Amino acid sequence: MHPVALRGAETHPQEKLLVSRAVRGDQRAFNSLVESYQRRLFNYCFRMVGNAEDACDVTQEAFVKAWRNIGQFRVGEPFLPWLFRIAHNLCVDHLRRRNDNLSLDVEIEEGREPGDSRSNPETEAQESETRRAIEAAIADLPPKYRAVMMLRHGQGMSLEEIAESLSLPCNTVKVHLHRAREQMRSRLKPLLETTI
Amino acid sequence: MNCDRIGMLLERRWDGPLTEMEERMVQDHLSRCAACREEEEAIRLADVAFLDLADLEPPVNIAAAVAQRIALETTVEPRRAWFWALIAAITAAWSAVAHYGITLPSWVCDSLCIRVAHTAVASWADSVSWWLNPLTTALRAAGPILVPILILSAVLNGVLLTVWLTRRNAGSRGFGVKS
Repeated sequence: MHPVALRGAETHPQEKLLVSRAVRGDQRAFNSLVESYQRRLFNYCFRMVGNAEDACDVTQEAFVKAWRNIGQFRVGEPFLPWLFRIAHNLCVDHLRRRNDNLSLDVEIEEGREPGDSRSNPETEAQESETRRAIEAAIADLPPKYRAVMMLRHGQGMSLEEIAESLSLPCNTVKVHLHRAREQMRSRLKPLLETTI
Repeated sequence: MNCDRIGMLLERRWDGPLTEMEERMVQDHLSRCAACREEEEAIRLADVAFLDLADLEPPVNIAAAVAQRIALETTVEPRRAWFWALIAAITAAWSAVAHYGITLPSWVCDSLCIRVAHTAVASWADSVSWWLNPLTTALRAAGPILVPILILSAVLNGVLLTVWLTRRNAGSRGFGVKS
């Protein structure tokens, strides 16, 4: 997905209409929103939790939770950051549960990847070396850095929308983004410097 | 111009084009500041990296699964509506009996605490009768008509709610569910 194509995750009139209908309890409208966003949310959850099966469960759970709490959504505000906030919290819960003996902070400090995103050997064989290096670089980012990178460069969100999605102050988002990019730059520069 | 301001402009440039003057300021600063050049390079590298990243297709139809789960959750509602309608009808009947003192066998009165409620309501009515008298009289007069209306409206409310929810669920069930 081209990040530039996603830049400016502003609300479109059609989406606004669907959201306001969903808030009034229209399941059809909500399902249209699910159809529109399932791929983006799944990709985000996949990068966060590290495998497709868990990512599917978390994505489904996020949409069901969004439906249950749609009454709390304030019409007129951007829908996507609200949806991503639910998904992000579920991803964090999932990582915590999976590492119940390991606190998330320890994991973040040490930059460990809780899941293995490279579990399918057939797919792995088909992937280019560059792509695998990029996947690994993203997977090795601590979850809090991975989240901001996914939302900024993967979903094209503004800093304010990321702050809203992750319930963080905007300045913290900037710091995380700076450190995440720096970490990726030091790892991928030799590989990608010919491309830029 | 300091590096913080340039960092902010670099982020803004990522969101959309800067003004001509801002762009000139950024370029001027970048030509002199190695740290900001690295920052800009990191942004471009991240962009290139994410361009190369695979956009994955979910292995199952998430929308269909979500629609089914939501439909299942919502079908419980009519039963709940019936439950509350029944509670409303019992409450209406109980309060009417308590208030208007309809004669019932003593064991029924004792088991439903009707006598206690009736005494309490009567003493409260006596204490405020000087200003409530006209209203109480009107209520007592309307009692035989009012009580059945209260009960009927509670039951009708439950029926209408059930029909509406059932039709709504029937309409939405299956929407977006692909075979």
